[in-house]
Amino acid sequence: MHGLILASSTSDNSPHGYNLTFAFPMILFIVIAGALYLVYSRPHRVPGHGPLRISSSPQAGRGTLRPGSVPEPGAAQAAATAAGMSTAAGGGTTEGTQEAAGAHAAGGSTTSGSVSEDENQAAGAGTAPDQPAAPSDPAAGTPPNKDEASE
Amino acid sequence: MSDTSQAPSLTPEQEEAAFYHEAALNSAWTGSRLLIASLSFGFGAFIFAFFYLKSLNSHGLWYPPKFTGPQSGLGTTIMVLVVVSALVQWAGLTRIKAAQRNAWLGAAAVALVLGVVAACLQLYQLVDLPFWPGSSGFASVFVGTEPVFTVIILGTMVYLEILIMRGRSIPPISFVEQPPTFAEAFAVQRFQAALSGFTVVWNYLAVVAVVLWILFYLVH
Repeated sequence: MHGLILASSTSDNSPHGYNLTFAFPMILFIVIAGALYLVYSRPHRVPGHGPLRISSSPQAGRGTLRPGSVPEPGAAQAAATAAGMSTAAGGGTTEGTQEAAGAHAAGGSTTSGSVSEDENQAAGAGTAPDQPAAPSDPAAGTPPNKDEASE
Repeated sequence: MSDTSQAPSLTPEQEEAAFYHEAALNSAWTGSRLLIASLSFGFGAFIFAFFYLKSLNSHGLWYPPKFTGPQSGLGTTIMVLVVVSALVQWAGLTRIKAAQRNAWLGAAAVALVLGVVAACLQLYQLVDLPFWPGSSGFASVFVGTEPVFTVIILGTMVYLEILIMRGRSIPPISFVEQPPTFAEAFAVQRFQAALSGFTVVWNYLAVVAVVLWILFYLVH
Protein backbone atom coordinates (compact mmCIF):
# COMPACT_ATOMS: atom_id res chain seq x y z
CA MET A 1 0.00 0.00 0.00
CA HIS A 2 1.38 3.31 -0.97
CA GLY A 3 0.49 6.31 1.14
CA LEU A 4 1.21 8.21 4.26
CA ILE A 5 1.70 6.15 7.38
CA LEU A 6 0.98 8.34 10.35
CA ALA A 7 1.88 5.89 13.08
CA SER A 8 5.21 4.88 11.79
CA SER A 9 7.25 2.48 13.83
CA THR A 10 10.74 3.39 14.87
CA SER A 11 13.58 1.60 16.47
CA ASP A 12 12.64 3.09 19.82
CA ASN A 13 12.53 0.66 22.69
CA SER A 14 9.14 1.89 23.78
CA PRO A 15 8.14 -0.96 26.12
CA HIS A 16 11.15 -0.36 28.30
CA GLY A 17 10.26 3.30 28.34
CA TYR A 18 6.79 2.46 29.57
CA ASN A 19 8.13 0.27 32.32
CA LEU A 20 10.70 2.79 33.47
CA THR A 21 8.17 5.60 33.48
CA PHE A 22 6.07 3.68 35.95
CA ALA A 23 8.67 1.80 37.93
CA PHE A 24 11.39 4.33 38.50
CA PRO A 25 9.36 7.08 40.22
CA MET A 26 7.43 4.48 42.17
CA ILE A 27 10.54 2.70 43.41
CA LEU A 28 12.27 5.98 44.14
CA PHE A 29 9.37 7.17 46.24
CA ILE A 30 9.06 3.89 48.10
CA VAL A 31 12.76 3.69 48.86
CA ILE A 32 13.03 7.28 50.10
CA ALA A 33 9.82 7.14 52.08
CA GLY A 34 10.87 3.87 53.65
CA ALA A 35 14.30 5.21 54.51
CA LEU A 36 12.83 8.30 56.11
CA TYR A 37 10.38 6.18 58.07
CA LEU A 38 13.18 4.04 59.41
CA VAL A 39 15.35 7.03 60.24
CA TYR A 40 12.66 8.95 62.07
CA SER A 41 10.91 6.05 63.78
CA ARG A 42 13.97 4.54 65.39
CA PRO A 43 15.36 5.98 68.59
CA HIS A 44 18.03 8.46 67.71
CA ARG A 45 20.35 10.86 69.43
CA VAL A 46 20.46 14.42 68.29
CA PRO A 47 24.08 15.61 68.18
CA GLY A 48 24.79 18.42 70.55
CA HIS A 49 21.81 17.45 72.62
CA GLY A 50 23.83 16.22 75.54
CA PRO A 51 23.06 16.66 79.19
CA LEU A 52 24.18 19.92 80.66
CA ARG A 53 25.95 19.84 83.96
CA ILE A 54 27.71 22.31 86.07
CA SER A 55 31.26 22.50 84.91
CA SER A 56 34.10 21.49 87.15
CA SER A 57 36.55 22.91 84.72
CA PRO A 58 38.39 26.06 85.60
CA GLN A 59 38.08 27.21 82.01
CA ALA A 60 37.87 30.93 81.87
CA GLY A 61 37.64 30.92 85.63
CA ARG A 62 33.98 31.61 85.51
CA GLY A 63 32.84 28.66 87.54
CA THR A 64 29.32 27.69 86.75
CA LEU A 65 26.32 28.08 84.61
CA ARG A 66 24.65 31.38 84.99
CA PRO A 67 20.91 31.19 84.45
CA GLY A 68 20.78 34.88 83.86
CA SER A 69 22.80 34.48 80.70
CA VAL A 70 20.09 32.68 78.79
CA PRO A 71 19.87 34.19 75.32
CA GLU A 72 17.09 36.57 74.58
CA PRO A 73 13.89 34.72 73.71
CA GLY A 74 13.58 36.59 70.49
CA ALA A 75 17.04 35.56 69.37
CA ALA A 76 16.44 31.97 70.29
CA GLN A 77 13.14 31.94 68.46
CA ALA A 78 14.65 33.55 65.40
CA ALA A 79 17.38 30.94 65.31
CA ALA A 80 14.81 28.20 65.42
CA THR A 81 12.28 29.56 63.02
CA ALA A 82 12.25 26.43 60.96
CA ALA A 83 11.98 24.17 63.95
CA GLY A 84 8.89 22.20 64.70
CA MET A 85 7.86 20.92 68.05
CA SER A 86 10.67 19.40 70.00
CA THR A 87 10.87 15.66 69.71
CA ALA A 88 13.13 15.36 72.68
CA ALA A 89 11.80 13.54 75.67
CA GLY A 90 10.24 16.07 77.90
CA GLY A 91 10.34 18.78 75.29
CA GLY A 92 12.72 20.58 77.54
CA THR A 93 10.46 21.45 80.38
CA THR A 94 7.87 18.76 80.89
CA GLU A 95 7.61 15.03 80.92
CA GLY A 96 7.74 13.23 77.65
CA THR A 97 5.40 10.42 76.76
CA GLN A 98 8.23 7.95 77.07
CA GLU A 99 9.35 9.11 80.46
CA ALA A 100 8.25 7.63 83.69
CA ALA A 101 5.88 9.68 85.75
CA GLY A 102 7.77 12.12 87.88
CA ALA A 103 10.96 11.76 85.89
CA HIS A 104 11.04 15.42 85.16
CA ALA A 105 10.78 16.38 88.80
CA ALA A 106 13.39 13.92 89.96
CA GLY A 107 16.22 16.11 91.05
CA GLY A 108 19.13 13.70 91.28
CA SER A 109 20.08 13.22 87.69
CA THR A 110 20.31 15.05 84.45
CA THR A 111 19.30 12.48 81.94
CA SER A 112 16.95 14.37 79.73
CA GLY A 113 19.46 16.73 78.27
CA SER A 114 17.15 19.57 79.08
CA VAL A 115 18.82 22.85 79.68
CA SER A 116 15.96 24.17 81.70
CA GLU A 117 15.76 21.07 83.84
CA ASP A 118 19.38 21.34 84.80
CA GLU A 119 18.90 24.92 85.53
CA ASN A 120 16.10 23.97 87.85
CA GLN A 121 18.37 21.58 89.64
CA ALA A 122 21.17 24.04 89.90
CA ALA A 123 18.92 26.66 91.30
CA GLY A 124 16.94 24.33 93.50
CA ALA A 125 19.87 22.68 95.15
CA GLY A 126 21.50 25.95 95.86
CA THR A 127 24.67 24.67 94.35
CA ALA A 128 27.79 26.58 94.98
CA PRO A 129 29.10 28.29 91.92
CA ASP A 130 32.16 26.12 91.55
CA GLN A 131 30.71 22.87 92.75
CA PRO A 132 30.95 20.02 90.23
CA ALA A 133 28.16 17.64 89.39
CA ALA A 134 26.94 15.50 92.24
CA PRO A 135 28.71 12.16 92.63
CA SER A 136 25.38 10.38 92.49
CA ASP A 137 24.89 11.58 88.98
CA PRO A 138 25.63 8.54 86.83
CA ALA A 139 26.85 10.77 84.07
CA ALA A 140 29.06 12.84 86.29
CA GLY A 141 32.64 13.02 85.29
CA THR A 142 32.01 12.37 81.63
CA PRO A 143 32.37 15.16 79.15
CA PRO A 144 28.87 16.33 78.41
CA ASN A 145 29.42 16.98 74.76
CA LYS A 146 31.58 14.00 73.97
CA ASP A 147 30.63 12.10 70.84
CA GLU A 148 27.77 14.39 70.15
CA ALA A 149 29.09 16.02 67.05
CA SER A 150 29.40 12.93 64.97
CA GLU A 151 26.65 10.97 63.46
CA MET B 1 1.78 14.06 86.00
CA SER B 2 4.73 14.91 88.06
CA ASP B 3 4.75 17.32 90.90
CA THR B 4 6.71 20.14 89.42
CA SER B 5 6.51 22.16 92.59
CA GLN B 6 9.69 20.49 93.79
CA ALA B 7 11.77 22.48 91.36
CA PRO B 8 11.78 26.23 91.29
CA SER B 9 10.24 27.60 88.18
CA LEU B 10 12.13 29.44 85.51
CA THR B 11 10.99 32.65 84.11
CA PRO B 12 8.83 32.34 81.00
CA GLU B 13 11.63 33.85 78.95
CA GLN B 14 14.12 31.24 80.14
CA GLU B 15 11.65 28.43 79.54
CA GLU B 16 10.99 29.67 76.05
CA ALA B 17 14.66 30.12 75.23
CA ALA B 18 15.42 26.59 76.37
CA PHE B 19 12.49 25.20 74.41
CA TYR B 20 13.49 26.89 71.19
CA HIS B 21 17.08 25.88 71.71
CA GLU B 22 16.11 22.22 71.84
CA ALA B 23 13.83 22.71 68.86
CA ALA B 24 16.77 24.16 66.92
CA LEU B 25 18.92 21.13 67.73
CA ASN B 26 16.22 18.75 66.62
CA SER B 27 15.46 20.71 63.48
CA ALA B 28 19.10 20.52 62.41
CA TRP B 29 19.00 16.74 62.72
CA THR B 30 15.63 16.39 61.05
CA GLY B 31 16.27 19.00 58.39
CA SER B 32 19.50 17.43 57.20
CA ARG B 33 17.73 14.10 56.67
CA LEU B 34 14.86 15.77 54.88
CA LEU B 35 17.33 17.64 52.70
CA ILE B 36 18.94 14.37 51.68
CA ALA B 37 15.52 12.97 50.79
CA SER B 38 14.71 16.07 48.77
CA LEU B 39 18.03 15.96 46.96
CA SER B 40 17.46 12.29 46.24
CA PHE B 41 14.22 13.12 44.50
CA GLY B 42 15.97 15.86 42.54
CA PHE B 43 18.87 13.71 41.43
CA GLY B 44 16.43 10.86 40.90
CA ALA B 45 14.77 12.89 38.17
CA PHE B 46 18.04 13.18 36.29
CA ILE B 47 18.89 9.53 36.82
CA PHE B 48 15.46 8.60 35.55
CA ALA B 49 16.02 10.73 32.45
CA PHE B 50 19.38 9.04 31.98
CA PHE B 51 18.00 5.52 32.02
CA TYR B 52 14.80 6.41 30.22
CA LEU B 53 16.53 8.02 27.26
CA LYS B 54 19.21 5.37 27.23
CA SER B 55 16.59 2.65 27.18
CA LEU B 56 14.47 4.37 24.56
CA ASN B 57 17.46 5.28 22.39
CA SER B 58 15.27 7.16 19.93
CA HIS B 59 16.64 6.89 16.43
CA GLY B 60 19.91 5.74 17.93
CA LEU B 61 20.60 9.19 19.27
CA TRP B 62 21.23 8.37 22.90
CA TYR B 63 24.97 8.08 22.38
CA PRO B 64 25.69 8.14 18.66
CA PRO B 65 28.79 6.25 17.49
CA LYS B 66 30.67 9.40 16.55
CA PHE B 67 29.60 11.28 19.64
CA THR B 68 32.44 12.66 21.76
CA GLY B 69 31.59 12.63 25.45
CA PRO B 70 32.77 14.93 28.22
CA GLN B 71 36.42 14.91 29.22
CA SER B 72 36.79 11.83 31.39
CA GLY B 73 39.95 13.05 33.09
CA LEU B 74 38.26 16.20 34.23
CA GLY B 75 35.19 14.32 35.38
CA THR B 76 37.27 11.89 37.36
CA THR B 77 39.20 14.72 38.98
CA ILE B 78 35.99 16.44 40.03
CA MET B 79 34.61 13.27 41.57
CA VAL B 80 37.83 12.56 43.44
CA LEU B 81 37.99 16.11 44.78
CA VAL B 82 34.49 15.90 46.19
CA VAL B 83 35.11 12.51 47.76
CA VAL B 84 38.42 13.56 49.28
CA SER B 85 36.84 16.75 50.59
CA ALA B 86 34.15 14.75 52.37
CA LEU B 87 36.71 12.34 53.80
CA VAL B 88 38.96 15.12 55.05
CA GLN B 89 36.10 16.94 56.73
CA TRP B 90 34.89 13.72 58.32
CA ALA B 91 38.37 12.95 59.58
CA GLY B 92 38.58 16.42 61.07
CA LEU B 93 35.26 15.90 62.77
CA THR B 94 36.67 12.98 64.71
CA ARG B 95 39.32 15.29 66.13
CA ILE B 96 37.02 18.03 67.29
CA LYS B 97 35.53 15.66 69.85
CA ALA B 98 38.94 15.42 71.45
CA ALA B 99 39.02 19.18 71.90
CA GLN B 100 41.29 19.52 68.88
CA ARG B 101 39.20 22.22 67.35
CA ASN B 102 42.09 23.59 65.34
CA ALA B 103 42.55 20.20 63.72
CA TRP B 104 38.99 20.34 62.51
CA LEU B 105 39.40 23.93 61.38
CA GLY B 106 42.35 22.92 59.25
CA ALA B 107 40.57 19.92 57.82
CA ALA B 108 37.47 21.96 57.14
CA ALA B 109 39.50 24.61 55.35
CA VAL B 110 41.09 21.93 53.17
CA ALA B 111 37.68 20.41 52.50
CA LEU B 112 36.35 23.84 51.60
CA VAL B 113 39.13 24.46 49.10
CA LEU B 114 38.71 21.02 47.55
CA GLY B 115 34.97 21.49 47.20
CA VAL B 116 35.30 24.92 45.64
CA VAL B 117 37.97 23.68 43.24
CA ALA B 118 35.70 20.79 42.25
CA ALA B 119 32.87 23.21 41.52
CA CYS B 120 35.16 25.49 39.52
CA LEU B 121 36.46 22.58 37.48
CA GLN B 122 32.91 21.51 36.79
CA LEU B 123 32.06 24.97 35.57
CA TYR B 124 35.14 24.95 33.37
CA GLN B 125 34.12 21.61 31.92
CA LEU B 126 30.62 22.84 31.19
CA VAL B 127 31.85 25.82 29.20
CA ASP B 128 34.28 23.68 27.25
CA LEU B 129 32.19 20.69 26.31
CA PRO B 130 32.95 18.98 22.99
CA PHE B 131 29.22 18.69 22.20
CA TRP B 132 26.10 20.81 22.10
CA PRO B 133 23.36 20.26 24.66
CA GLY B 134 20.91 18.96 22.07
CA SER B 135 23.31 16.83 20.10
CA SER B 136 22.25 13.59 21.78
CA GLY B 137 20.18 12.21 24.62
CA PHE B 138 23.28 11.78 26.73
CA ALA B 139 24.31 15.37 26.09
CA SER B 140 20.98 16.74 27.24
CA VAL B 141 21.05 14.76 30.47
CA PHE B 142 24.64 15.70 31.19
CA VAL B 143 24.06 19.39 30.56
CA GLY B 144 20.99 19.27 32.78
CA THR B 145 22.52 17.37 35.68
CA GLU B 146 25.96 18.83 36.17
CA PRO B 147 25.00 22.50 36.60
CA VAL B 148 22.51 21.53 39.28
CA PHE B 149 25.10 19.42 41.05
CA THR B 150 27.61 22.25 40.83
CA VAL B 151 25.23 24.76 42.37
CA ILE B 152 24.47 22.35 45.21
CA ILE B 153 28.19 21.85 45.84
CA LEU B 154 28.75 25.58 45.97
CA GLY B 155 25.84 26.04 48.35
CA THR B 156 27.21 23.32 50.60
CA MET B 157 30.59 24.97 50.61
CA VAL B 158 29.02 28.26 51.61
CA TYR B 159 27.52 26.51 54.60
CA LEU B 160 30.88 24.95 55.43
CA GLU B 161 32.41 28.41 55.41
CA ILE B 162 29.71 29.55 57.84
CA LEU B 163 30.49 26.59 60.09
CA ILE B 164 34.20 27.40 60.02
CA MET B 165 33.55 30.95 61.11
CA ARG B 166 31.23 29.76 63.88
CA GLY B 167 33.74 27.16 65.02
CA ARG B 168 36.51 29.71 65.30
CA SER B 169 34.58 31.60 67.93
CA ILE B 170 34.13 28.57 70.18
CA PRO B 171 36.92 27.70 72.63
CA PRO B 172 38.28 24.16 72.06
CA ILE B 173 37.65 23.16 75.66
CA SER B 174 33.96 23.80 75.18
CA PHE B 175 33.73 20.62 73.10
CA VAL B 176 34.67 18.44 76.05
CA GLU B 177 33.70 20.54 79.05
CA GLN B 178 30.49 22.27 79.87
CA PRO B 179 30.74 25.96 79.00
CA PRO B 180 30.13 28.18 81.99
CA THR B 181 27.11 30.00 80.64
CA PHE B 182 23.92 28.93 78.99
CA ALA B 183 24.57 31.24 76.06
CA GLU B 184 27.90 29.53 75.38
CA ALA B 185 26.40 26.08 75.94
CA PHE B 186 23.67 26.91 73.46
CA ALA B 187 26.21 28.08 70.91
CA VAL B 188 28.33 24.93 71.24
CA GLN B 189 25.38 22.58 71.03
CA ARG B 190 23.91 24.31 68.02
CA PHE B 191 27.29 24.24 66.31
CA GLN B 192 27.58 20.52 66.98
CA ALA B 193 24.12 19.87 65.59
CA ALA B 194 24.79 21.99 62.51
CA LEU B 195 28.17 20.35 61.92
CA SER B 196 26.66 16.91 62.22
CA GLY B 197 23.95 17.78 59.73
CA PHE B 198 26.49 19.23 57.33
CA THR B 199 28.66 16.13 57.56
CA VAL B 200 25.76 13.87 56.71
CA VAL B 201 24.77 15.97 53.70
CA TRP B 202 28.31 16.41 52.40
CA ASN B 203 29.02 12.69 52.67
CA TYR B 204 25.80 12.05 50.80
CA LEU B 205 26.85 14.43 48.03
CA ALA B 206 30.16 12.58 47.77
CA VAL B 207 28.21 9.40 47.14
CA VAL B 208 26.14 11.23 44.53
CA ALA B 209 29.33 12.40 42.85
CA VAL B 210 30.51 8.82 42.56
CA VAL B 211 27.15 7.68 41.18
CA LEU B 212 27.07 10.45 38.59
CA TRP B 213 30.65 9.69 37.59
CA ILE B 214 29.76 6.04 37.07
CA LEU B 215 26.75 6.96 34.97
CA PHE B 216 28.34 9.62 32.80
CA TYR B 217 31.78 8.15 32.33
CA LEU B 218 31.38 4.41 32.65
CA VAL B 219 27.81 3.30 31.98
CA HIS B 220 26.78 5.55 29.11
